Amino acid sequence: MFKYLKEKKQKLLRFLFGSFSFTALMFAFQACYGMPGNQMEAIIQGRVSDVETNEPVEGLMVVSEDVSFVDTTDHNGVFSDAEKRYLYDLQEFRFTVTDIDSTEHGQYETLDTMVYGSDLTQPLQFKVKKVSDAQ
Amino acid sequence: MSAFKRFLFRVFRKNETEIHELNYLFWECTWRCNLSCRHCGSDCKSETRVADMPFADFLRAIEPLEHRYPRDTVIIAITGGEPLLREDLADCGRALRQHGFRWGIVTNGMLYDEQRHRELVAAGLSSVTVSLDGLEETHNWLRQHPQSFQRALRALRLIANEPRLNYDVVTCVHKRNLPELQRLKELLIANGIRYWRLFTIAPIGRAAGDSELMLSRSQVEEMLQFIADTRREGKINLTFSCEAYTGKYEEEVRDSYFFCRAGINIGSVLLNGDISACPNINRSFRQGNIYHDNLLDVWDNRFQIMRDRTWMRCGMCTSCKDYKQCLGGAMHLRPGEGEPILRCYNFR
Repeated sequence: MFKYLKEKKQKLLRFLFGSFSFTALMFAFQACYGMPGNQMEAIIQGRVSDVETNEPVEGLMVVSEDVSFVDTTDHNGVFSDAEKRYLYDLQEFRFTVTDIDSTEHGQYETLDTMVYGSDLTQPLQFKVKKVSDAQ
Repeated sequence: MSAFKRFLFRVFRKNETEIHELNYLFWECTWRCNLSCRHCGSDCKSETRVADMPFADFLRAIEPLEHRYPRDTVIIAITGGEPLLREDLADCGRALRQHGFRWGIVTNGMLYDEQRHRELVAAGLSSVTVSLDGLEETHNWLRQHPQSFQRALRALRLIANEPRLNYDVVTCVHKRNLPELQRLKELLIANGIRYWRLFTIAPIGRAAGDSELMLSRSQVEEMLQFIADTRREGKINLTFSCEAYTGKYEEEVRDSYFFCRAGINIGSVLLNGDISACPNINRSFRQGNIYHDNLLDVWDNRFQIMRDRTWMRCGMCTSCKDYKQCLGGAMHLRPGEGEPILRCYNFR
């Protein structure tokens, strides 16, 4: 019981420290003779394509609240806001891909997916399923 | 505010020490090296009778970490010797990614050409540190190789233009390159380098008896002032390595306070299988061996000497008022248990 409470307290303290910006950098460290470690720098970019045809899909909104990302795919299915982000938490990040132009480029199911932190350093590839053709 | 921040930091450090998650693991994969640097902390040799550690041995040792820690929360720092001398480096890296580890290398850049760069990035390389120890003449003098500067610069240009990589340039500051730091900074900025880290040469390994490499106290302060000025200027992200507590410079030379995480978040598997913290720590501090012990058991149940550092309050630390903030400095500056620190950079 004591050990359980102690662990809870440690995790709570860690959460509190991580929540204050002036201490967040404490989590990003590197050994004095090693290379950069926990922190990760990424430009979020990628492409959304049709799961069956692999054709790019235009007019989808890609959102990740976890990393404050919002963009809409262009005619090549590409999304990016060209902003460099410094990420200290290497857990998973939620992304949703939503059809916002109704049936203009076909109707697609909403995709709700998790992305590993390290995968954000490479172009993302999302596949979406078509519900109905363009009208 | 500063006193409150320091207090909060000490609470944070205590908490991190109690949790002691292993999330930075060195793998000393080889002792072979293609240079013979004057300041080498590990005293590596171009010819060594000690064979490289088979990757399968290392992978077997770290398997328990895969089950304990979430994917991507442990980074493997592959070091040596010179890790690029291992022809299977990309294969090792690829396998580490498949097992959920991030990985990076510390290199002199001699063998880092475009082909190797592509191969390593494709294998999931996520972080690189390249050494550049001054302008061309000085770097080549320290590294004792006429091509070493140009090769390192070639590597840096490739790495700095690769958006997937975390990287930095490290410079060992010594008497010869201290006056060059301003010009070196301009050279790095001109080559698109954005992350730069300085450290001083520790009186260990091959550098132990070389007074030409050691900065005087006033030169150390000159270096710290250069870092503080450069950080204010904002053209390149320069930090002082987390090798020492710097007293009044603590908030000016790094993003966070000095915190030696050896044995707290940093471990290592050394070439002979020994389990320790940073590879430059005196080998008498080894805590086990992967050929006899379970790495995670050792991490969980040993390493007390690095998590309770009250023994480090000896020598000049005994009466130091800043001990509670510094906790006796960096582990690699202790020649052994109970030994006083080799040097101190506390400026008041």
